[in-house]
Amino acid sequence: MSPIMPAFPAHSGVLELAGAALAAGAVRGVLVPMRAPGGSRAWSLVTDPAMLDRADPLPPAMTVHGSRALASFARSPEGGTLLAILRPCEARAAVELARLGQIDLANVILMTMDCPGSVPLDTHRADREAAPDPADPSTLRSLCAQCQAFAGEGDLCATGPSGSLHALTAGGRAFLEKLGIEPADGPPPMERYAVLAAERGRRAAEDRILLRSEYGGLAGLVRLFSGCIGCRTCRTVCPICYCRLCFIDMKDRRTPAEELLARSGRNGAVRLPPDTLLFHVGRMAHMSLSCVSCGLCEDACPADIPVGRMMSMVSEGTTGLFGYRAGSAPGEPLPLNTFLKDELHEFED
Amino acid sequence: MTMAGNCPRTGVFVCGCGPNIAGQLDIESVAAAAAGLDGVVLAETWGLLCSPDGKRHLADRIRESGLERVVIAACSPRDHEKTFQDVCAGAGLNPFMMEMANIREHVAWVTRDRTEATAKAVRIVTGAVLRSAALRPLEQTGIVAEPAVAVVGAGIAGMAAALILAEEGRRVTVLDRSTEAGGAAVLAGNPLAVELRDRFLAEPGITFLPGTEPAEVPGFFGNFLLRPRSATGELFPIVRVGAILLATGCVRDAEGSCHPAEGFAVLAEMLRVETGDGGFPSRRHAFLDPVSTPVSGVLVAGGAGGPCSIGSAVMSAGAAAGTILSTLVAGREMETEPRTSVISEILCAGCRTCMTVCAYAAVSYDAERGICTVNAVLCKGCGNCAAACPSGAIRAKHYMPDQIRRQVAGVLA
Amino acid sequence: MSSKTDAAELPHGVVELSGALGQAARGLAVRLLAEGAVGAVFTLRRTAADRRYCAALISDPALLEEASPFHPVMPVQGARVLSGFLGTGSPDRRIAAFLRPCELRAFVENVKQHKGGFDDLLVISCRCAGVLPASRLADDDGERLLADYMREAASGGLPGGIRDACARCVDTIPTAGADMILSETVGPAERSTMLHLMTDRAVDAARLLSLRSTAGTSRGPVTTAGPEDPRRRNREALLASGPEPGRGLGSLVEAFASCIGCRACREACPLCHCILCDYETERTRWSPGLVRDLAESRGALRVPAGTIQFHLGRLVHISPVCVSCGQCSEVCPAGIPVSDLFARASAHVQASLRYVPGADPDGAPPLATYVERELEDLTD
Repeated sequence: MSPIMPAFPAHSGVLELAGAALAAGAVRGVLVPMRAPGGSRAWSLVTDPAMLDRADPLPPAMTVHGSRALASFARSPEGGTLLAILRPCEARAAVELARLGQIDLANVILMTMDCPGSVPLDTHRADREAAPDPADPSTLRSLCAQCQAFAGEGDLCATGPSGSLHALTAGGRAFLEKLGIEPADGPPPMERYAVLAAERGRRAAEDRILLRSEYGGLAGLVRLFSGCIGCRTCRTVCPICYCRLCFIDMKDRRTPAEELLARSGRNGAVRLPPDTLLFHVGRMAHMSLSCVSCGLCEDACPADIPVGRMMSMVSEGTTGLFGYRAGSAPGEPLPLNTFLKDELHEFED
Repeated sequence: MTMAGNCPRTGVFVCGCGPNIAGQLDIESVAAAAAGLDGVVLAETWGLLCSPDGKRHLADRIRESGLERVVIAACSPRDHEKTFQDVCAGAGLNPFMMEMANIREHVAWVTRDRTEATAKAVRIVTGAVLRSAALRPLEQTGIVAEPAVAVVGAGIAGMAAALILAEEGRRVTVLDRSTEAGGAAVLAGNPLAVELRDRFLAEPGITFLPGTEPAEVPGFFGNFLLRPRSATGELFPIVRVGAILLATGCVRDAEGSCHPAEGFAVLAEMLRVETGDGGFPSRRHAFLDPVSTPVSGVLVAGGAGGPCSIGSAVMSAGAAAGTILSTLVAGREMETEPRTSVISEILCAGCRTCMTVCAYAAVSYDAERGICTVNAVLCKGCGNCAAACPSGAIRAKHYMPDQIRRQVAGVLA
Repeated sequence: MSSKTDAAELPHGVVELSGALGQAARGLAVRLLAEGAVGAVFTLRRTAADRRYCAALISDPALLEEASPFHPVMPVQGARVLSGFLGTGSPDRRIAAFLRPCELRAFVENVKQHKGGFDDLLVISCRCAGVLPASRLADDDGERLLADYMREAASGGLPGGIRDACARCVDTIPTAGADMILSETVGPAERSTMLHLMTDRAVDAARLLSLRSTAGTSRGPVTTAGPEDPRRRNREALLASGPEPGRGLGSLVEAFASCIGCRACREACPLCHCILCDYETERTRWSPGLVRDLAESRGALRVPAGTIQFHLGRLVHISPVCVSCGQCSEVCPAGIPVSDLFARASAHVQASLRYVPGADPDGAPPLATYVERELEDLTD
């Protein structure tokens, strides 16, 4: 059993680990982004270690949330062990999806790397290799610039400039043992990121004050979403929104034309398509407890609405109500779908 | 016979309930207000609609006016929903095209001011009329029950119940972990218990499987498929029964507290019977139905339900056997609740939240398809699953989104 | 897609309105609503956000001050919104609907699928110079872009910065379904807009508003897309630029390599109105077992699987009726030129099926019409 305390840059070390795991048969597949034609990145389920030379873990841009890629084929545990190489927020969302019955984590090893953030999709489109600078918010998506949870998640993580491997769960430890790898001692040292995290936290707090003053209240929300064209892209890219048919699209829940006309008559006008706020606030009610502030909603929005910052702020509030943290230990119950006979008395009058 | 347009022919009947309603609000005004609603072809008052005269009048009106919907503004559905449903059925109208508006408990009995009460009743009736237009006919269904019974546990309660059932001609299969019948009472040498044991072993209608317990029990009331397994793991052939009586007794520990027999928790989980304080099974009602669990067809007798005397054990065994005899009649079609939940297989994403809120073990998960399904026989129409489903994939028949929305719109109009 | 230099039918009358297109349209809307010719107006409207617009159904004439009919932006495709609204029931009053030609063509196709009807509408269309992308209009230089657009449109030219789909559109005037067509007069003179009355309904409305036809006019609105028009050249260039034979699938894979599966293209498309898209159902979902097996046999598999499946499916379903509005390209977060692909595919498919979407309200939509003997020339 030779300990690995690599001095390589994190990426190649992680890919070596993945290749070794495949070759040894410790895993049947590795979920990792790969370079696609034209230079963008696409998630791939890799079974042949030779294919890993095109892999690019934690690529400069987040195109599809890794947890959504995982959920697309990991609903049940059959098919052997999987190693998923993810950003911390992707691992957290995977845990949430497991709580929502969409992923079975029984045979999945969630491995994360310290995440420097992601460049906006527009930047990535213009320059496929433009890289995020964790200390320079102008290179990052707005939510990445506020993110303080960019390290130390999942079953195991590769952290720090030397990419040392830390096992965070029994499953992670068992996986490394199978490969004959001794994980680094103790939990990942987070002190090295304390200054950056504090700065991010300050930025987040300031942004929320701004959001509340600018868009607080019903009128403010109306103004926030006035450019919304109802394309539902925010919902489709969201890793948490997995419903086959969203409540807003259900035929038997649609507002009949007569009612819309009546509304138009009463208020002088009605916006079409209707129910913009109903969609966004409804979505908040449904997914807020599991929101991992990944920011894909905002990055993908064609109308440049700061919906990610708003969702993140609301999520801070709603999870706070329940003392819950999205993506925390897999055994914890999710308030949204956990019903106890005796609960929530503190919210009664 | 339908009116021009979309509105079905609706009759509204406002019952005075003697002085109960008529004394508290102006029923004539309520009827007059209802008469102005779309689709209402007839709106009238009556003194006591549940009386023989009242019911006859209702039936006559349905027939002669060709009513397609009936709205009855009266007491609580808990009192007379069945009454008026039967009248409708007798008059040729599907019983689920009848909507009750409770203007007694919800208005007359709680509102002092007569004007206010009348206005409120009008709103409630308007909601009911609008909702009724969206009602859909539902067919009453049933299943043919398997009259045989399984008893788990051959102690006092189990033997007593088995004997009652066998004497009434039922095939009874009794399982017990021990190789000897009789349980705690026989072990203690109680002479009555010994006598009971001898009769039990001699009864030809009882099949005793010593040294076995249930390995799995898929199925539902009227159709359980019980597979016994021996202590060595040998599996016995499946026994098909209509009801299961849990008579597994209880044990006292060193500190003197009583617990269900070891392994009861596993059995309860298999049958999806909820357990409460101390691990004992939940009952339909502590006083009115203490031998039935919330799961149809699964009953409890004797110490399995909590510490009790031998006399109580035998009495509860009798109660359980009696319940089984009267509900599980050979060849009888058992009415099932038509207002069940339906899960859309297209919309279900397999999160299984519905299963966690179903008290009747009516929802199961199909791992291959990754979706949940409702057993319409076991479903009691409580609607928990439809409310809890995060994806909106479940619809509660008779409480569909358009029906609810119309009712709300009517009340708020 | 064929096009005509004149409107398919001659108008019943032509009225001269003062002001540029948008101004004249707003004025017309105000008068229609105020005089009771219609009970509501479907149009673009300013929102609380600067230079952002939305569609609206306006019943109060006073609120028409904020209306911006034919403002050169298309945040949502009018047919999608109108069909969505009318698909849930019939209006109880007449609605004046301001629709650009491509929106009207899409609406005609939707009506064939019972997503709306013409009975309760007074359709007002225009000679269209194209639209600017909504995000460009809201940009810092949006005002300048808009001013340039107005100038170019007034002189009958091709405004800069408009959607690619608009820059190659040769169907700038509607050929069917419009009750009224507004076309701004081309030239340096004082701005005015001609209102062409195409149907009896339009004539009745004009009479109610005491609008008088100018004498001696019997021509319909004239298209600007003549033989030498840059739009026509742009279109020909696009059609000529497709992949070589045999390279179709490969070029699709490349085109959609950066697709993030957000489905914005589908949600924006006026012709995609299925409640639940076939590509979101179990029928087309790649089972976990299939994904794993293919990943094994190929060494690697892109996930979520089915990127090309979705786009090919949409191409198959939509190309017979695509009206090339370009909404799909505008909303794509990955910047994929979806409408280019659809325009090329549609040109071939529609020619093979001999179908022109939106041209004939009574024409049978090819995908929904089954005839015992048909398309024999396409079979072996």
